[in-house]
Amino acid sequence: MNKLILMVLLLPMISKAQEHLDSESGYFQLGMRNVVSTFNEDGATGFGYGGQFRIRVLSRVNTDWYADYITTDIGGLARREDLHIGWSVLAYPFNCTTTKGKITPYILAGHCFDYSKATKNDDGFSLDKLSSAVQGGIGMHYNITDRTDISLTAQYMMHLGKDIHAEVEEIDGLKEVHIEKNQVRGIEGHMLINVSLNVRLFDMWDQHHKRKKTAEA
Amino acid sequence: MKSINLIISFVCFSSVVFAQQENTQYIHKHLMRADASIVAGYLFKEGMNNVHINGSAEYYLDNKVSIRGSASYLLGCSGLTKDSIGLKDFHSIYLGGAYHFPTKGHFDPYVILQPGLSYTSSYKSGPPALMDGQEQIRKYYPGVLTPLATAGVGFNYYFQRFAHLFLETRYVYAQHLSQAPSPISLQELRVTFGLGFNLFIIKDKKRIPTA
Repeated sequence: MNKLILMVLLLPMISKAQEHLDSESGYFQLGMRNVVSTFNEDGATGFGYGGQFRIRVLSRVNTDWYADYITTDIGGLARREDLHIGWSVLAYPFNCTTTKGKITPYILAGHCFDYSKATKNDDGFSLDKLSSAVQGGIGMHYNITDRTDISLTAQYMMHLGKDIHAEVEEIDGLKEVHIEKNQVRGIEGHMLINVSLNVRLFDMWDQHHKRKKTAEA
Repeated sequence: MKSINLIISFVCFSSVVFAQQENTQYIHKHLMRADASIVAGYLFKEGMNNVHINGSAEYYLDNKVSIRGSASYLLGCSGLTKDSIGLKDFHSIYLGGAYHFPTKGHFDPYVILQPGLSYTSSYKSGPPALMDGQEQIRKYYPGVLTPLATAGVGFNYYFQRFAHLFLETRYVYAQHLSQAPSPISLQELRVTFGLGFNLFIIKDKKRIPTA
């Protein structure tokens, strides 16, 4: 049974291995990004910084390996910090060639590990959690030049684990914040919007491309 | 006096050399530049003034795109927020890219996007009545890491083989969230200018003509 599952999983790779190398695949890209986290259960919007590298495995498939650090103000009474480390697979269903001045839309799905910490401002009381998440979304690259792009991505991230809530309550005109950790594992989601600037640094499959060109000549 | 004459002759000679190449863009692949400068900043949401020292290193991937890493250190901040909170530390590192507009000479205008991360800390200033000797009592809060986004415009003017002038203005977006009673908006307008140094680290066989 296990062998059958393994064969089914490897089947797409066999078919891909027969695909010809193209001019788009094999590129290593490095980029930095800013992130906005919104539609949280806390109702607050976070802002973050991160970076990623991309390895384009096929002309229509790219991989994105990223890390983000996001801070969120919770009503001026508490703050939340989120760290994400993960990866996504980007698929280009329409245009997949990198052409200066053109847009390359994509859909993405992936997985990440995350660490979150919520801290009260007044007494420093804090709760934290480690969990993992899955994400999916859409985006587009705008190719400024043949090797540089600005990418805009909107993705929904669903965290699987014991969630942390920070809730602001107003009692007799006084605002108070309560930080709680769910005792039961569940799903908590939020939207991540990021803008990144990416530069193609080198062709990882340079030798293959050279060989292909030589063979064609 | 002799040395002044020598400097003037050197600068003029450099201009003559460059005057012969005015039809081609000076910047191209493998140009490396670096600068250090004093930056004037204004936190316009809080009405506070900052002075930073900044250092940058930049490498041109081609004649349109470069990658730049920078670091800045807050030398001083004047003013307090409405809640009497002051900024003690605002030290940042950035990494990003610049797009350089094509020109036919030594003028190099650009736009730059540089996300970054900063170390920020703050303090609450006590009421004027609370003085310890000559110094007002302050309550300091632990420092935190603050993500930031920056976008800027500027230009370089490569007037000499190894040196250039630059002017840049940029907008910084960040928010200081700490144990302080209220957050501090770090939305800042920064202006800097000065002298930078440049070098083609690999010599090209031919210059890339401007499109």
